[in-house]
Amino acid sequence: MENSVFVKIGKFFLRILEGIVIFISAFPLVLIYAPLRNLYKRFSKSVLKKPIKSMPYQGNVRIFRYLDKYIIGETKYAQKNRVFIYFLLPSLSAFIIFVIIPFFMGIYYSFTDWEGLSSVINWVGFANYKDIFTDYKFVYSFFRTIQYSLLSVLFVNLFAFGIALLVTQKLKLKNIYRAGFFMPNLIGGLVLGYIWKFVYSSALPAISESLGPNLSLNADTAMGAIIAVVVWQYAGYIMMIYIAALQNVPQDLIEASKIDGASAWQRLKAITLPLVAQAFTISLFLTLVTSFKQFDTVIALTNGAPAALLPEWIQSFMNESTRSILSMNLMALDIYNTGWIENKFSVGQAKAVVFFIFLLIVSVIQVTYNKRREVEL
Amino acid sequence: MKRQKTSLILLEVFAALLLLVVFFPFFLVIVNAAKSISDILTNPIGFQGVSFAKFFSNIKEILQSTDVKYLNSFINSTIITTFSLLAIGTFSGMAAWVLVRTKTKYSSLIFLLFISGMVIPFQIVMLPLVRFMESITAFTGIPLRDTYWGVVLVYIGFGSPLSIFMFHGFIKSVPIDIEEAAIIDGCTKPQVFFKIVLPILKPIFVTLLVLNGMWIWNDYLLPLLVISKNGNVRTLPLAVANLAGSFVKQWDLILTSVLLTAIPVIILFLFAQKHIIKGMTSGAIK
Repeated sequence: MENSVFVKIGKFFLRILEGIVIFISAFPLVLIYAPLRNLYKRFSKSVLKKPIKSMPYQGNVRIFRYLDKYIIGETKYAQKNRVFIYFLLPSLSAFIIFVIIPFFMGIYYSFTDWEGLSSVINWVGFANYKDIFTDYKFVYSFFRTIQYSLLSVLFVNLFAFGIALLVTQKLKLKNIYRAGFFMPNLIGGLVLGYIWKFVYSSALPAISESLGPNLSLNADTAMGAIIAVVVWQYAGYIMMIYIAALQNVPQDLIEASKIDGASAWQRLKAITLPLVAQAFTISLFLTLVTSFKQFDTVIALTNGAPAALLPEWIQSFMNESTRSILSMNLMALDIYNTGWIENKFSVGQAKAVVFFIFLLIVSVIQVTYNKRREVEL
Repeated sequence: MKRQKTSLILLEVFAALLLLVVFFPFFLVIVNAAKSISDILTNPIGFQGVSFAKFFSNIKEILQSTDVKYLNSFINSTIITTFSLLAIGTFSGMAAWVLVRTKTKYSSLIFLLFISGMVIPFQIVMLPLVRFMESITAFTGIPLRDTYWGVVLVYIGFGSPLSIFMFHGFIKSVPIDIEEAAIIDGCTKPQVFFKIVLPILKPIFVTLLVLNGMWIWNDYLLPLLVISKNGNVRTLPLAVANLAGSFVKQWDLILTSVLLTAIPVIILFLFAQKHIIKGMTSGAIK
């Protein structure tokens, strides 16, 4: 097998990862040794009346001397380091085992042809990546995800900022409004998807019968329908961030500008917006990431449907004929379906790597761009 | 002055109308959970066919349904959420504290590692994660999938980056003098953390309880992969998905189960509203 070297490297890599896990899980045992030794020392001093001077491991072996000085002994360093390790270990080990290691495994698997179940793993290089970029379904889903994210980021933030401005006015029931607008966010994406599935499939058609226009879900309206759901769910959460920022805008600045004769629009543009720029950075980042990762709502609401025709520019770009395609098969859903439902593990993984890199680039650009527009008070 | 008053009233009316629009789906859920399926199909919006008897029989059917196992799933969700929240809060607080107070290159390196974890989307980790959990089980014999502690451990892994980041920012602004005074008075370092630092961290702890709680209680994808669909520790979202999968058009049952899933969280929210909103707004901007 020409690829066997890479497979061996990969397997070697996996062994190392396993070793790390065993090492991490064995580490607490090493640490327990220190307090036990202290106990024994005290015991031997007071009961046995014969204080011990050296411990069995304190020979000339360098690693033991090192361990004694820095981790399990009674030196200043060791005591400090022990607290550091004890306190860090629970979250760090869970993080490494369940996030970092699977992350690198995932990148490795995207270069193989592993199907998940078989034990045969062949290194295929960039073949999976070549496959997914020549697959019109993936290109279309990539395009739709970008389209969807841009629209939902725009609308969620517009609505959220608008509502935040509204409920920071001197309204009588403003606390009720805040709580009320926030409430949809308490309900998870999946449950919410079912609620809106009912709204779109039963309630809205019943309303539209009496009003006239047809409001049922089809390929043209599905995007708007899902964005409406996301705005309904997420605007209340983002509103909270804007409210916190708006409350930090000093009132004397606003009062001064009122006396100087600034209109409401001028006040918003010249004072409020620059001062809440930090909140914009955070909110745009949060909405961008969540809309890219949108999964629960879509799977409950349409599960990728309704079907649509492949747009013409993708047809000519990819040399495809006219094809029918799932119009709301966004990337997060596509990765899940490819990797988990269709069992094309490595292909799904390659899609996930592309997804990750794209998300990383976009969010870095967004954050650096927004950071430059922030003003310090 | 008078003009301002009328515009305020207009704004008030507008906000109230908007609130009604926002509440409309909730209204539909509640109304239709109290109807029979034929009444829903003929009239999904109005009050026609609403009866308490039907409401209770729907609820009874959901409670007894083997597709949902509501009580079972509810308890599972509660256990998983509670333990994950407490573990994430305490462990991340501990980690963030030593990371701030130890100024070595290791501590900044480890902090950087945690921060980089925030940009890793779940989608790239999910498939290898399941395989890796299975291979750990095969290797050590400790079952991780379909167990409470397995799910909780995974949540600790995924929840700690954001939590450590927020604790880190907060602890940096806490003066070190109190801790030094406590050490002079004879506290050991762990005592300093649990008796002095942890109470100071309370506001950010509440924020994280809210944020992580909403995430973990409602999470669907992670339990879907880590817990198999018919496993013993199935959470509420999985149960609802299971029901909606097997009764596709039975809106009376689906909406009742939706109501039963949402109600506990909404009740909790109404009771702890003040803390939750305060926690959200104080933590969100940092």
